[in-house]
Amino acid sequence: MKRCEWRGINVRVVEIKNPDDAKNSGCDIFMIGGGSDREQAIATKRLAPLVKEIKAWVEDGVSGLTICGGYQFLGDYYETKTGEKLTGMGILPFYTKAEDSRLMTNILVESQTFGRIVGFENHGGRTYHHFPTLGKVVNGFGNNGESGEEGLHYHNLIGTYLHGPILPKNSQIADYLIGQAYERKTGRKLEPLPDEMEKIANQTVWERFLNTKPTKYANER
Amino acid sequence: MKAQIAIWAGKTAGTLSKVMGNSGSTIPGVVARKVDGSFLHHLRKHTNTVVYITGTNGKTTTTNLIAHLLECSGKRIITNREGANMVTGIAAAMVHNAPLLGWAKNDVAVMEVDEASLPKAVSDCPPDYLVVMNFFRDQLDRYGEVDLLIEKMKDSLKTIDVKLILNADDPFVHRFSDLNKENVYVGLASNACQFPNYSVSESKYCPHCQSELTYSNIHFAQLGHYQCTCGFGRPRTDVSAEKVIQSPNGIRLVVDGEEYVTPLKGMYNAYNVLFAISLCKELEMTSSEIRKCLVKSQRADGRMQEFMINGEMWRLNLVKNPAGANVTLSEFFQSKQKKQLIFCLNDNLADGEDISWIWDIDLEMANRLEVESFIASGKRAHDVALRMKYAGIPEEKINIIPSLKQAVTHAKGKNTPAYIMATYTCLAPLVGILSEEQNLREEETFGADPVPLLSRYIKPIWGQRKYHLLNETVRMAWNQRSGRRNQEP
Repeated sequence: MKRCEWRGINVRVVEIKNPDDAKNSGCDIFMIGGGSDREQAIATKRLAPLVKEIKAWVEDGVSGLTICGGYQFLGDYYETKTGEKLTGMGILPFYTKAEDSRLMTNILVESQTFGRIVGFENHGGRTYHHFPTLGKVVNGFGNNGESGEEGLHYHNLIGTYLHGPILPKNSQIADYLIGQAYERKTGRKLEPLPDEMEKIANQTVWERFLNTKPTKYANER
Repeated sequence: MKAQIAIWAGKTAGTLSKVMGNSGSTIPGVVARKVDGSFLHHLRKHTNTVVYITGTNGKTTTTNLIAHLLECSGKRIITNREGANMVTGIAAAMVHNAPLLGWAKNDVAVMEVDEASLPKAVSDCPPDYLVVMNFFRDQLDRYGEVDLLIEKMKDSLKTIDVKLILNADDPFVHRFSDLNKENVYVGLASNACQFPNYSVSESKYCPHCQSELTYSNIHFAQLGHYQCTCGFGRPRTDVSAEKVIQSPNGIRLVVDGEEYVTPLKGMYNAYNVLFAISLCKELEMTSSEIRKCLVKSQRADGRMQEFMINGEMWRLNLVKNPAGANVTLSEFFQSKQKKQLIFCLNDNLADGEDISWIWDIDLEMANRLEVESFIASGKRAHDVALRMKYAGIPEEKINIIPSLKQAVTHAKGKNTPAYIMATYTCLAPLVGILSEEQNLREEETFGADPVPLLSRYIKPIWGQRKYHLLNETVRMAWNQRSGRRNQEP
């Protein structure tokens, strides 16, 4: 939002508390965050009437950012540690399975589209899908700690485990989401911003965690 | 016998660690528990009353206050004053407290206990009283871990006989009520005080039915007078602060009609004081005793600590999560005086490796004219700087100085006081650096020291008098040369 403001683009933020909010929003960019398993299940239930709408947004090229729980619940289901399958929104066909250890560390991702991405991941769920990803994990765990890939990138929808939060230190992603939406709406290209501070912050984290060893945390303390 | 060896081993380890230059506050405890796995049992055996204090914010201050009040009333106490609040920290306090042979007999153990460590501490040494202060959103909460944490804490208490001192104003804490223990509810009356407002979305949802809670009065964050349609609501209080008054010398509280004066500054201390009063009353201290002792209490290191540097009053406060940081900022901006704001952020284990919580701080509120300069410091200085930039603070006002020492030096170069927020592992080094700066200044009451190094190295060798003679001579020569004589005070 700040990056739009700095460019003189007016933004209206609508918090979706019930399905009608979203139907009337006519949004250009949408964002779904995360929560605990319990909260996530509640949110998904409330979002159920909107699934068709969101699917249409995605196919239509609306910019979307979904993080952690928001990313997991784009899929068909989320299998908890007890084997219970929580229904996802089913926007895209994939699934997530929770395991005992928590993947919690600073993460570095090398992306063909976005270059170096830095952030922090903290998730018990392992996500498996066949869609294009954000990029290759250089340090950290990523989607499931096995594939060496992180995130999902489908049309203009991004799903990722990175927070930190993801956008300020990876302003290229913020500008991608804004840029796609801006072009879709106005047909014009987005003007770049001076990003010295963002780039240095990204680089500092990259260099610091390039050679650290990420450890898996036991879920129980 | 095992316990005795554990004490000796702990004491030895502590001494060795100190010799090697570590502060090592928990090392004796780690070693003692290695030798004797059930080391904490002995605390139960050799103490009449055991009190635990837990919650997200205010534990250390409240623990120190209670310890001080009880000590002042003549009780023999054992406490983990340094905020070493894991099981090893408690064990370390026991090692320190024990004489060379056997155990010291104490009236009360006053222990700060980290939320996650509580179940272990309770099973090793069940407390008689448990103070539950608050649960604020921090990085754990994002993943629903607070739900889990609270349930685990409650589980650990189920089978023991304990009296709970609960924060009536916090819906999360109220969840302890269904344990059906003997409860003492403590809270602030509506409109007891005006906490400065800041805008941040806290999750204010009913723990039972997930509906949004309605508040007739909000103190800060999720603390206040709440009610849910399902019937869940703020309980009636047993101890209530009707009024909290802020004065330059500290806050004053009117609790159940009686006034208490404290030297603690900052509204957020109201809860800490209130909990301390409530607990001490449980332990049969009289109001007049509490009142008398409260006046003499001192705040812990790095809790709104003041330092006189270059004739300006600097402030230092610990921050751990958005709620604490917001309250800190509100306190900082009580005065409209010109100032600098320093935010020192580390990401060591004790600070929390995930630093994303800084984005939930209402730093937008710090974007004001009276803050002339901002310094982002610590291992994650660049992240702090970005947060400041996105709070709308002009980039030219933001300085990125990762070294704490250099950050302080930079701030000293300006003629305005620095207000410092620091995470846990930044705190001790900062207290060191700032105390040194403060002492340096005291040594130089005769005016600006032309050769600062002299005071550091020659004075200890020559002694005060000779040093001053030399100092004066050098200074006069210096002033003659640079023609600054008239500018000296």
